[in-house]
This record gives sequence, C-alpha cells and structure tokens, in this order.
Amino acid sequence: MALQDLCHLQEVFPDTDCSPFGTRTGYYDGGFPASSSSHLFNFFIPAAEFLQESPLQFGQVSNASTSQDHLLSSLSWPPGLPQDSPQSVPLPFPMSHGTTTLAFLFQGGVLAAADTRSSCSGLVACPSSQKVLPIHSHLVGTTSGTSADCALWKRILARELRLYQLRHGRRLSTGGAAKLMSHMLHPFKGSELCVAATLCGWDGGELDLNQKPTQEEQELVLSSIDTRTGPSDPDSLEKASQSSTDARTGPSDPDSLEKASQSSIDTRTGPSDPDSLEKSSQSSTDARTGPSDPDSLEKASQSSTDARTGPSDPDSLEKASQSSIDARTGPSDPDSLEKASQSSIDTRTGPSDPDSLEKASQSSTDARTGPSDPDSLEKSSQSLIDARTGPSDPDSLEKSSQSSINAQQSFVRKRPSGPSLFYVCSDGTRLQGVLFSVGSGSPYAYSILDQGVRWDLTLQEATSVAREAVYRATHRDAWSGNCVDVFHVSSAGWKRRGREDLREEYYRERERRGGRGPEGGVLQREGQTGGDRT
Amino acid sequence: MALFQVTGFKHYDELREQILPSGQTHLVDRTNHYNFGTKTQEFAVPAGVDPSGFLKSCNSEGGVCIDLNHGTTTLAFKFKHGVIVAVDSRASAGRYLASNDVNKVIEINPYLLGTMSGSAADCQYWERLLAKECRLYRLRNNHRISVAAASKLLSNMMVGYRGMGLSMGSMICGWDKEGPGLYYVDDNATRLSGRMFSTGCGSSFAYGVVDSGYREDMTVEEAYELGRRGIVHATHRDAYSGGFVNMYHMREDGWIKVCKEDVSELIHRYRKGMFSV
Repeated sequence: MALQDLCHLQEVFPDTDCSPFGTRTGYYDGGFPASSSSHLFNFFIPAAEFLQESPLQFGQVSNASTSQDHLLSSLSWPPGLPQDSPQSVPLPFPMSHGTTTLAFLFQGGVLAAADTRSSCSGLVACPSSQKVLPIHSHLVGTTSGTSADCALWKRILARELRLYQLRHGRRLSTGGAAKLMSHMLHPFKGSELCVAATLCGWDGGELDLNQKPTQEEQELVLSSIDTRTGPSDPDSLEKASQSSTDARTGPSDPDSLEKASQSSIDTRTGPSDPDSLEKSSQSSTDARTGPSDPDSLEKASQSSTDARTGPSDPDSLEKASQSSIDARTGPSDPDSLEKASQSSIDTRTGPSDPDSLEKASQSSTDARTGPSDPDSLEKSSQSLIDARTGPSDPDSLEKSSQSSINAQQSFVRKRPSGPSLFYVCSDGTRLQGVLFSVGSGSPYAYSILDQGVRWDLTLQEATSVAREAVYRATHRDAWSGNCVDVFHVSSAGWKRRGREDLREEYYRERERRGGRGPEGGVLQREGQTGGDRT
Repeated sequence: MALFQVTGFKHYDELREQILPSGQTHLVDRTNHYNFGTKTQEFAVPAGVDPSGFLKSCNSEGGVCIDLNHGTTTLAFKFKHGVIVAVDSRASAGRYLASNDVNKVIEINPYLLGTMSGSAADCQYWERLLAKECRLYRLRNNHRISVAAASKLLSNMMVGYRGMGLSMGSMICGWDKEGPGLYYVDDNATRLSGRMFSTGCGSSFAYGVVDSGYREDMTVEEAYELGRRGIVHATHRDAYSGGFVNMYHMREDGWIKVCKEDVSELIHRYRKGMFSV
C-alpha cells in the first residue's frame, strides 16, 4: 500500500458507483503533506441528513435505510443503543466506549495495557480481540471505540507513517503521528466514526537505541569532545531526573551528523530505519549499527551522501578515518563526528524534527537530544547548517564554531525524544499526557493508576500496576473482561507481554482472601454457606 | 413529628377524606402498610400531574441551565470490626457547585446511619422520614428496629413513588442483634444487602480502590485508610465529588465519627508521584 502510493500508482476506483446512502468522499485534501496521489481516501459518508441527527439518537429509530448505515459501525458499539428497536429509546447518559485501555509513562518508557473483550450490544462478540496494536517498531496504539474503525485507522496511520519515513528519512514523532491522526479523523467529525486511541511511542534517538553507554564510555566520549554537558543542555528545562540516559544519548545523534565534514548529509535516522518497521526492534544490533552509520557518513568527507538508514550505507561510505572516533563505539558516534569540521549538513535531528513544535513537556529526552543537536552544530565549525526548523532553530543559523556549550543551551531546540504519550479521539481531542485510560472501565482503572503510578517504577512494578488496574476494571465493568495485554515501549522498540487470562487472577485472589470479597462475600464452596444476612 | 403521630392527631388528609368521600383515591392517599397501620403524612398529588416529566423539563434538555445531577461519591463496606462509611461533601447542580460542605450522612439513631446520594432534597426528606419511623418503632415496640427492617421501610416508601422522578441512592448501615448490617436502597426501591457498596457518579473510581485494597481481616486503621483513599481518588477524578471526606465507623456499641478531612490535602499525600512529574 505504501509503496503503491509512493509510486503514484493510480488506483482504480469505480467512481460511477452510486451508493444508495451517501456520496463518496473525493480526494482528501486536508492539507496532507503526504497525499500527493489521489484517491487516498475514498470512504462512504452517510447521506447528509443522518449527519444532522444527534449521534446518540442515530440508529435508534428504525427505518429501511438506517440499517445500511451501520456498515460503518460494527463491533463494540456501546450497548444500550438498540439499533433495531422500533421505538426510539432515549439514552440515560452518553455511553462511552466499551473497553478498558490504559497507558502511562515511566522511567523505562511507556506501558500500555488493555483488556480483550469486544462487545456488541450486550453480546461478547470476541473474548480475545487485540486492542493494543503496534504501528511501527517504536509506536503502539491502544484502541477503543468501534473495533473496525480503530483497526482501519491504525492501518492508515501506519501507512502514512511509513510514507513519511521513506520520504523524510526519519520516523515521525509520537506527537506528529497524533496530529496526523487527528487531522485524518477530522473530516468525519459528527458522523458515527468512533475512535479513541492513545499513541504510545518512543521518539528520537535512533542512533542511541537501547545501548546505554557505560560510565567509561561516557567519559570517553565526553573527554574526546569538547562536549556538551549532556543532559543539562537545552533542556535544562527538562527535569533531569532521567539524566543518565540523557547524558548518553546526548552525544549521539545529531553530533554524529555534524561531524560529517562537508557532507551534505540527508541525515538518516540511523541504522534502525529500515528495520524500524520490523518488530525486531529489540535487537541490540541496532545499537551497534547505529554508531556505525553516522560515523561512516562522517568519515566520508566531501561526500554528499544521501545518508541512509540501514547499516549498509555507512559501510559503503566508510573510509578509514583517523578519528579516534573508533574509540567511541556505540553511543559516542555523534561526538566523534563532531570533530569533523566544515560540514555542511542538512541535519535532521532525527525523528523529532517536526515535533520540535510539540510541547515536549514530559520528555526528559529533550535533555538528551538537546545537547546533541546544538552541540553538534556548534562543533562543526564553519559548517553551513541547514538546521531544521524547530523551536530553537535560530541557533542553527549561528555557525559559531566554538561557541561554548552554555551559549547554545539557551537556544536549543526542544526536540522531544524519549517516551511520549498522546490521546487522540475522533471528536477532535488530542492531548499529551503522562497517564491515560480510555473506555467504560476507565474510572476503575484510573483510581488504581492514580495510587500506583510514579515515574520511578521498575518495569515489573509498572506491569503489575497496569495489570491490576485492568483487572479491577474488568471485574466491575461489564464491557471489559477476559484477558489482559500489556505492551512496553522503550528505546529498543515495543515488547509484548504474554496475554493473561484474568479469570485465573480472580480465582487466585479469592484464594488469597479466603473466600471473602468486599462485594458480597458469599462465595460458596462445597456446601459452605455464607455468613451474611440477606 | 413523632409525637404528633403518637397523640393520634388527625391529619388534614383524613379529615378531607371524611368530608369529601368521593374523588379519586390516589395510591398515596391510602393507608400504607409499611407504617404498621399508623396514619402517616403523605403527599397529595393532584391528578394529572406527571412529576417525572416535569423534572425532565427542568434539565438542560428543557433549556433550563440547572441540572439535577447526582454528583457525589459515597462508599461503605463491612469488615471484621464493623462497617466503614465514607462520603464526600460536595453538592452540585449541573455545573454549579452549590456547596462544598454538605453532610451526606444522616444519623438516624446511635445505631443506624444513612448515606445520601442523588437529589439532596429527596434524600434528606425521605431519610428524615425514615428516622421518624424508626423512632416510632422504638417507642411502640420497646426495642430498636433492625437494619433489615429499616431498609425495608425506606424501600417501601420508594416503591410508592416509583416513576415519579425521585432520585435517591442510599446505604443504610447499622449494628443490630445479628451483627453489622449494610443495605443499599435506591429510588427504584431496589434493596440489596452486601458487603460493600459505592454510589454516585464517582462510585466507579471508589470501587477500583476498595476492591484492590480490601481484606476481610483488616485492622481498623487500615480500614479507615481504605475508606479515605476510596473517596479521595474518586474526588480527584470525578468533577462532581469533592470537599471533605466524612467518615464514620459503625461499631457494636454504636457509630463514631472518625474524621472530616480535606481531600485536596489528602490527594497530595497519596499521589506524590503524580504531582512531581
């Protein structure tokens, strides 16, 4: 699909179809940068008169054409909306999406969890559906609302992100993906489309990947470079709580690019790019290749390289350079590269570029990437840098060769990097946050999460909080249930924990409590009668 | 009220019935069985009036800006050492906060408590009426009414006005001869006995917390903490709950009021991680 679009292959769409209930949307011209080809979106929209009905009342009065419009609505339409009832039944309150999904940030990345029940007007349509869908190697999305809509739009989003990556050479950040999705859903506002998703991703730093530099590496890097202070930089604004990672990654990305001397490099996001879509993200090989790429590019002096992803590139370009960069192994790439001078670099900070406009409030990663970018720029003396946009761009223009780090710190563009979480809804809501829970079971989950979620949780603690939250919600909410899926997104990509049946958990808990629960403890076992009065 | 009844004073309604024997006998004008045959004060509802329809027109759908909403969180649970009752203290009318310091627990007698959620006026009136009936029972029968019977009284009051737009979700908690008792009664005349209930629009948040932390053999302090946490987390997430946590503990020798604490201070204690991120 993506390749097809890239090649501008015209799709054959029978435009002469006359649909009995609506016009086809034509070319989607929502200012989409990627939509260079036509027929990107051809969706049925119900006839205009149905759009004027209140969505809550939609479908409740039965007439011949109403049933056909339910093509768009499918599973997990909130129960309580009798679609075929002869008389219109007023809803007692607006029904929310029948599910429980949650996601939150913590020091180890993003954790996303969801139940697995798909319901359809009181019937459990599927007890083992998947509500957390991976979009690419470093982005997963939880879905709630109408199952079909969610699955479709997630796929469309994945396609568009892939296109973006192919065109621009780096991954779009989570915020950018959220904005993209929000804009894609906007034309359908007011219709029955019901998608409420949280996008959980790890931005930026494809070069740093999961390789955390050891202390000596770090020192090595730092010593060889007149380098940036690491986390503190631009992002002194960031709470440097997770500074250790920051320090590490700092040097990496941009710097490396900077180093490239006289190479107009169309920066690559790092080795992971081609692979980024593969789910082998947690291969630590990425870390390896990461460094290699930029370096190789760097080494290539006076080469206008269209820097590319994938390990293959650098190698080809690699010239044995006399840089002590070799010393740098992994993370040090950027730094080493910094040494290179006179590079006109069309740097791209990596994934975060467009998103530099995003509020990077929760990303401590800013601190990390921060140093890299400006520094790298700085380091490259007399480099014409066509730095990319972003908040701190002004400094990109300053070719101050030996501007001190500190000077840069004030200008640094805030590049969001690190874990990131956005909530996108088909009614146009788009929110950035640290903790979200969506669905009819969300109140139950919220109270558990509020108690237990802190930034400094370990992965295991975070998993158990998420599991407990989903379990409580499935226990009390009728439209959530069956199993729980837990996904963890880190710098190495997403990782899925095995699906767990919560029924077992319920029985375990009953055992723990000795057969008595808070909600009415008559748990009969082998003829034992409960002690409550009734 | 109670003395008025005991002295056998004839109420206006009965006098009117004797003067004008004809006319529609509305349900509410008949002698009610649940009052053990005593005459009681009823609402005379004129024929042709539809209270629930009238109430609906008073909501925002009808163009009026004040909603009658059920903004509250109350919870109660039984454990080894009695019953814990915890409520918030916010009264809202749609988006308007009428008060942040409302007492949502009515102390019927030293051994009976009733919580209120839903329409404040309905709750207060009917639970006071229940208190009157309990007192009358005590005077007539020389022993305290049981929790089951008290909740049954309230439930029967509700059934008489079913469909007329009452809005009340209440938990009757007490300690009687059979031990701790907890019943949930609502405006549909649903009456349920259980070990844990939570009512109001913040109830789902409270359920998560209490379900998670409940153990049958909790100590008293742990139970207090659980009740507090339930209300505090609910007030944190629910816009219509807030104010103070009013907590009562029903023990064998009667109830005690445990605390009245500001939820805004408590949330900072419980959610250290949240505010520092």
